Amino acid sequence: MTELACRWVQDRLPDRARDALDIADAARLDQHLATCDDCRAESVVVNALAVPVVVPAEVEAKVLGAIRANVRSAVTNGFGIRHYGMAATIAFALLTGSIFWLQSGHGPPVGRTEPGATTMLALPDSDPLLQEAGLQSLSEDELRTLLEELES
Amino acid sequence: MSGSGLYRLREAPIDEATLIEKARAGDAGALEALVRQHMGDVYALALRILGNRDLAEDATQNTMVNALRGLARFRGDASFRTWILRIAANTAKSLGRRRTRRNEVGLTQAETVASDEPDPATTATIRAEAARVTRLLDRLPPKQRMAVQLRANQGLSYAEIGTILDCSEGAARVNYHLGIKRLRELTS
Repeated sequence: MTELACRWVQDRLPDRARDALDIADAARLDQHLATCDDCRAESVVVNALAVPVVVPAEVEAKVLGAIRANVRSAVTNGFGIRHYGMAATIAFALLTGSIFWLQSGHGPPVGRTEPGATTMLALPDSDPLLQEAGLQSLSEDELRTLLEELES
Repeated sequence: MSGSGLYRLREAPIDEATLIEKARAGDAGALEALVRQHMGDVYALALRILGNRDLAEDATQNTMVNALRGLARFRGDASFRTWILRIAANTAKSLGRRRTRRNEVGLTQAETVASDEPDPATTATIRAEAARVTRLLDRLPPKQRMAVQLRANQGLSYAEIGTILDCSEGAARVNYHLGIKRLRELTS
């Protein structure tokens, strides 16, 4: 046997043991093993080492449990940090926006009502009765009529 | 538990790259599938490095948790299997340094299984031989032991072993062949 052939075979023994060689290479390797005592002896050792290790069921359960706990805590922590941060940002934006809006004169005239000005409630347009409840806009005759209607 | 190929998650075949993306996005199912897929390799390597089942269990758990936390750092330069086995090797070595080796045994027969499960007598012989050789593996220097484990048991290439052991591909090959040569002497 040539040293080159033995090296080629010995490099591939783990792949042969795992059935990971293509058909042509596997055939070439098997042919060599049939005639080479040295490589055959090595294949016995490699084949013994190639036997898969089985993870005990209790180990698998424990590891998966730890992973689930870590995923939960990672998600919980992430959720908390993200949402507290988001809530704080929104609150700050609303507060700042409200202050600017009020200062720019868009807000209700709180605390600076003009003398003689009347304050009317903003009522929905869809309810005629409520619209009519702005009594200041009614004439004296209309008020009297309304009172009579209510009394009747 | 091979590190490549397709597997099923929620009845749909998903390749590993997609699975990693989903896991990164916080998909617990994808994360668990990744863990299941690589747990055997991680446990086998940890067991070989530490020579102790309890420590191997701790190392496996720590490896998986560390991998979960560091998933964002996985760039895909090496395969996910190589990446997680490198974490496993470092975790196991670190754990081994902190604790004394106890209960130094190789794989018991219960922890090995024949891949094709032939008749019970053959299976028993294969298991017994596997247990005998893996016990002898503990007598090799650490780098040879890991190179032999990663090549012969887990089927990694020399380049991948070099990445995990932080050495060149050539050094990985030399460590493997020296380890096998020594094992042959011990078994003869």
